[in-house]
Amino acid sequence: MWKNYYQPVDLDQALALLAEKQEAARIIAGGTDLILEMEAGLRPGVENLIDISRIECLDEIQLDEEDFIHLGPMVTHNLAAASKLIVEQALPLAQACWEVGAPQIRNRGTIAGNLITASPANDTITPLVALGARVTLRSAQGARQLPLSEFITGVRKNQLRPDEMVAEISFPAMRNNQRGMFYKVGLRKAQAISVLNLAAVLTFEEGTVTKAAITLGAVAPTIVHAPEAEAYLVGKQLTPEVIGEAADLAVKAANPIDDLRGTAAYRRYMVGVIARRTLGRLADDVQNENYPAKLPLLSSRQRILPLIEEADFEGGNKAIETVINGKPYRFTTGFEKTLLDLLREEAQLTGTKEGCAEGECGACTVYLDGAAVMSCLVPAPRAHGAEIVTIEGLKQGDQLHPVQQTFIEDAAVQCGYCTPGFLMSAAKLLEEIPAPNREQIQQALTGNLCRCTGYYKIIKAVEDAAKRRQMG
Amino acid sequence: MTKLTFIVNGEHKQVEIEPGEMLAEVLRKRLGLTGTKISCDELECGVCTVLVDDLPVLSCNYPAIKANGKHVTTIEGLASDGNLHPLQEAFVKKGATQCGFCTPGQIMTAAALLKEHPDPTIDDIEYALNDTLCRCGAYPAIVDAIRAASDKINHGTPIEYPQYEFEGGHKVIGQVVKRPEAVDKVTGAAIYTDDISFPDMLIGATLRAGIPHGRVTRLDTTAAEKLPGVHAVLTAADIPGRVNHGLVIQDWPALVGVGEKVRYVGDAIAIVAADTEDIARQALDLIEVEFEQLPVVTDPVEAKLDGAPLVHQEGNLLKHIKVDKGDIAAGFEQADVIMEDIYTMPTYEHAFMEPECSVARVTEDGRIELWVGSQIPYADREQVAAALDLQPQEVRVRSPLTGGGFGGKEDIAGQIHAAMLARSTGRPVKILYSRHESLLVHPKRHATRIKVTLGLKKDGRLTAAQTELFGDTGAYASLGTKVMGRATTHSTGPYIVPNVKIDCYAMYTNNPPAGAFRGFGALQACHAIECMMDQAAERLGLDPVEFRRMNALRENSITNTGQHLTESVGLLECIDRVEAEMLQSTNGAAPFAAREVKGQPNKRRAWGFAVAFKNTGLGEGAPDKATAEVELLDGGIAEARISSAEIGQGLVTVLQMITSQELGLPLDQVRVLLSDTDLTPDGGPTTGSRQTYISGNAVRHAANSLREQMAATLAEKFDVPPDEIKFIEGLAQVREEMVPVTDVVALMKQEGKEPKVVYEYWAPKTFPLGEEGDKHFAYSFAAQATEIELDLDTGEVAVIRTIGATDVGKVINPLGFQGQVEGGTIMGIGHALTEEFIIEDGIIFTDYLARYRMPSIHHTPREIKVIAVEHPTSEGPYGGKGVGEISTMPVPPSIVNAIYNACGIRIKTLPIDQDWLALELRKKAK
Ligand code: FES
Ligand code: FES
Ligand code: FES
Ligand code: FES
Repeated sequence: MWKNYYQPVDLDQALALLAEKQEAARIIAGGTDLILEMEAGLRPGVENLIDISRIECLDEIQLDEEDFIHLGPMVTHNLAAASKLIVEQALPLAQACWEVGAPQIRNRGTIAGNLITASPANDTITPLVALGARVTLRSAQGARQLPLSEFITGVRKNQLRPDEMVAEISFPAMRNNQRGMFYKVGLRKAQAISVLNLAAVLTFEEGTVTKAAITLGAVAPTIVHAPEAEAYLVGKQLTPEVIGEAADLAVKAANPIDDLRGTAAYRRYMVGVIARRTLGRLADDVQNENYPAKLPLLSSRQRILPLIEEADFEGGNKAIETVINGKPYRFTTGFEKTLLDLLREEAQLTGTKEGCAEGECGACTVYLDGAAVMSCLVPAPRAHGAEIVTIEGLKQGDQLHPVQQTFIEDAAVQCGYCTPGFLMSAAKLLEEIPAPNREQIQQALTGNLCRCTGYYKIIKAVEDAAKRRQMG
Repeated sequence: MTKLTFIVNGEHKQVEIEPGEMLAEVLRKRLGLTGTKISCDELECGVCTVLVDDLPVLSCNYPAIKANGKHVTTIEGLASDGNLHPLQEAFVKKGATQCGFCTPGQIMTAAALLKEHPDPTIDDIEYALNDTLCRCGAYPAIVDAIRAASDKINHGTPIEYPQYEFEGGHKVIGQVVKRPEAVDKVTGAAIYTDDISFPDMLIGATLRAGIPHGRVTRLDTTAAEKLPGVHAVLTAADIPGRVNHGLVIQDWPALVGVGEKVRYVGDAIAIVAADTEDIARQALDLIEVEFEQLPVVTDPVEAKLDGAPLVHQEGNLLKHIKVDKGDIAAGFEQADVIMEDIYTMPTYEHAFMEPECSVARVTEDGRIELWVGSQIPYADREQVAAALDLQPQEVRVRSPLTGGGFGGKEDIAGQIHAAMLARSTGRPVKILYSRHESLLVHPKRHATRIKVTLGLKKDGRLTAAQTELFGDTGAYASLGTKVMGRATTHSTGPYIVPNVKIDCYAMYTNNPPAGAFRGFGALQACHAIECMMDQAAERLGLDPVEFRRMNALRENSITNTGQHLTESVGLLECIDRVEAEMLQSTNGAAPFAAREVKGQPNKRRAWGFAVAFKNTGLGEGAPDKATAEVELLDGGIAEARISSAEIGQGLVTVLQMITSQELGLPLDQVRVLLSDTDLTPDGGPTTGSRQTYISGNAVRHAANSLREQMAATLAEKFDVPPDEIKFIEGLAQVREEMVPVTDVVALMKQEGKEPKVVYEYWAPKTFPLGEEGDKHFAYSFAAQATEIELDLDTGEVAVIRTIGATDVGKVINPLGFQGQVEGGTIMGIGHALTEEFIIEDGIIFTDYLARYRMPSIHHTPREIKVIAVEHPTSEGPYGGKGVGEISTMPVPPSIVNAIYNACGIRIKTLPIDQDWLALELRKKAK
């Protein structure tokens, strides 16, 4: 799919490459959107990928002296969702990141990437707009800053120039007198992505609203504010009547269309429903009620593992050197493939399966530097200098991993095609949370689909494996 | 030479014979009647027995001339009008024939006996057969067979297969055992088709029509052929043999040529083999194709109108299927209440996890070897051979493990294409469908619209049921006639209805073909009737469970197709058990009333109820059989071989258990080899919930005969009656002595007996609609209760708990049974709540998995209660019947009924539209 693949070790190298290749290059961070777009032929002419996921410090989440939060371009959904700072001082963003669903996608997908894809149904943009976020764009020439609402100009359209990348996202941290929340309606037929979503950030002075930001996603070509509702709320206490009125006003801001994910009438109506629910929770100060205390991230790695030396794959000029299941591998072919195909075709490790090649099914789950990822959305050269674990490496010596044992005993295996992916997710979960509850198991396995078992026995097998591991 | 004139099997014969010629020789050599066998030629064995003027004679030493002017009857003359003589039938069913060499003599002797003693005692039989020897030791079965035949002749008692004990008593059957291939599956060692590759393998790819209806006017592949790395570009012109494939009707072109029509977006135009997938795809882009676009028809009801665009020249009606029972007009006249409604169900996608893959290569001896995860290996073999103009034996189909099928891997996908490309390039070729291509191409579940009209007495009794069905079978027939046939016969539910009229129209459209999918038409039928039953119960003020119980089929009921159900009707017990469980969960409170949820004022909970029935096996006149082979190998390992598909349902486990049970071998000494047309006989299609029953029976009978042979060998050697020999844990117990099975095998081989039995099992005969006789040889039954939680504001529905009871006759493999029910339940939840394969004007919207919402782990209810009900069928293996499909069927209507119970809104279109429901709820609230 790509002719050249670059893995710079500092930002200047990346920007220099961008300056040189211009439209023929794209920055790739998590790649969860980009690979799909390329497969679907939506990025014609892109021959060079510049992978910034090996550059140290690009995944930082920082609070500056002026109480602004800064997100680097490699901040993934999982990093943000698990960040104490984001949960405490930018809860709507944490909630949106958590809603992304599949942990394997959250481990790779970045917030900056969402802004570039600029789909109105992308969950993270709505809270960022409500939080008043700005983006910093950098090129070899210098940097500029734009409010996020200006950066995104339409459906899948933004202000990014060919030589620029999103270098940072920043927004004021929420203060003690502020409350915020994100709410999503999704999971109807046709698509998992939002039917609509809403974020609200309110500032209070002794129970009275002094400032209100309410933003709506998927009800218009871009994320929109609900200005009448915002204005109305200022100076009011959040009584049920006020909430009802504000919710009705929020509906006016929605200008949705009918599509296969939902009718316009439904979306408009739902804006009212979720505005009422959100404001109600904020009034009761229970906005983080459903936010899990311990998130199953399916990752044992906190931060980027940087490359020591840049690795440029121009044509087939360089071998991918990697470690799979503890063994060193060197691949002189296959750099233009996905990691999944590299594993199956070049390494002949066929245990990892392809169910969709679009990040939907989880059959291809492997560990990349300790994090569960969908290998169908990872470019093969990303494995260079990294460590991969596949289903073939799950056994501990001759011993089956406890989840392997319980999957057999509890009959959690039917056709078996989804099984390797489930086992990888489940084993990682137990590493992270040795005694997960049912909810955590479900959250951890959201990214894995099974058409045979109905999941029931899979959940049981994970529970039993947890018990077995604890008993030693 | 002398002239011999006699009557043989009713025919006058005149032959010249040498002096001293014996009758047996005359029959065999001069008349070609080789059914009569000669074994000892010295009046010792009785194998050569024939009847002369109804008296048994040993023909080997009976001077032929003595038969002059007499009536001679041989084994060939026993059957009349193509029907087996009761003795023949009984020998088959009772397993009284093993190697079969003595069988003609046994049967003729028995025939003479029955003429003399129409109702012989066991002693009579043993006396009469005293001098007719059987080396295989089939004696107990022979005695049994003769008794059964005499019962049939004298009392018309049907001849049954031997009874096996149910409930307990089985060492293996019904026990919880591990799936034999599970270890491979959890370690990544399990091999599916795409896991197979060869060093010089090419990658194949297919150019699809992309338009729903049109004529190919131009096709130019020159540029593609020139692309470096491309090894073959083939079109319809390159198909050497039969262009069309199809399991029932061959109407589906493997490739559409110039001047021919494409009928749906997934039609194949050209195929390419190249060094890499990338090159193959580039080559597809270089193929130039032009179409004359034709008007499109996508709705089955519109397809039936005059003037609708024609998908096939012969018209859009694939089949009109009818059922008539009683007098429908009179039935409605007797009714106090008549209700009518229409229910629609969309196209659904199987979404098996493993996309279709075929790997083909040409072997050294010029045959085609094809790996494909197939539900019907022998059909693939036949269809590939026909397309390539080969004999079926020139194709070897091998199925690695299959990552789910659910009916979606019955038709041809890439099999023919891969074989063509391999033949043309001389190199192995793999065609792996992307998920996108898989969604586009393979047959789906029929979108169906069903109108149900019921006539009811005030007390709840059904007087009449009329249904009208329109099924969208898409561009090609696939199994459309059969699927909609099943929809037809199941559309009035498992109820006693005296007057029935059904009209079903299976219509061609320009949508993707529709074919087999778990539930096979009966799912759609079940949904419509079960929704209607709840509506009717409410109208009559009856409890929906009681109302169903009142009308439910039971033993001795007559179905809507006129079938008399004589046994194995567990529906009432299913209903009772589910109701009891449901009442327990509500502590006796009314389950169908809406309940509030503590702390969540916008939520309501309620239970919903539905029942289902589903035939096992092909039925409706389709001959249904399976052949299995069981062999004892050195080392005391038994191997069962049959071409039947393991698609995740656990067939390997079931066949292993059956073999183990019959041979008294430990499970780990039994291997099962499936689906290799060179090595395993045909088990028939994996469809219609038939494998446990049909293939299970084939293996059971094969293994059973093998055990009898072993017993006979030992009986001979140790001089004990064969039935005193027991087989336990790999040892034969002969009196006090334990003989390892390995020794028995050695002994058999020493005696020149192959320790192997091939058994062809024929399921009981069925009859097509419109003819007298049973339509199906067995039905499974189920009752289902589902508790849902409804969000009154958003219309979101979550399934909290399900209770399902299924009458499967006998649970052979409990874990497999549970797995089928649990998996089927979730699929039913998906069908009700999230799944819809969306096609707009013949163009597929749901062409990525991201757009086809199949249930994820979040849709799993807190509890899935699985209840096994066992009303055995006499003919099924240990009493068993099918389970694979029925588990999904009652789930969607139970959810729809539960939603109604929770909020009073009745949903008539699947999937349940959250938008619509939310807006209705709002209207209602106002
Ligand atoms: S998510 Fe990677 S193959 Fe489905
Ligand atoms: S076991 Fe078949 S898809 Fe999960
Ligand atoms: S062949 Fe032996 S009795 Fe006739
Ligand atoms: S000799 Fe009687 S069955 Fe073989």
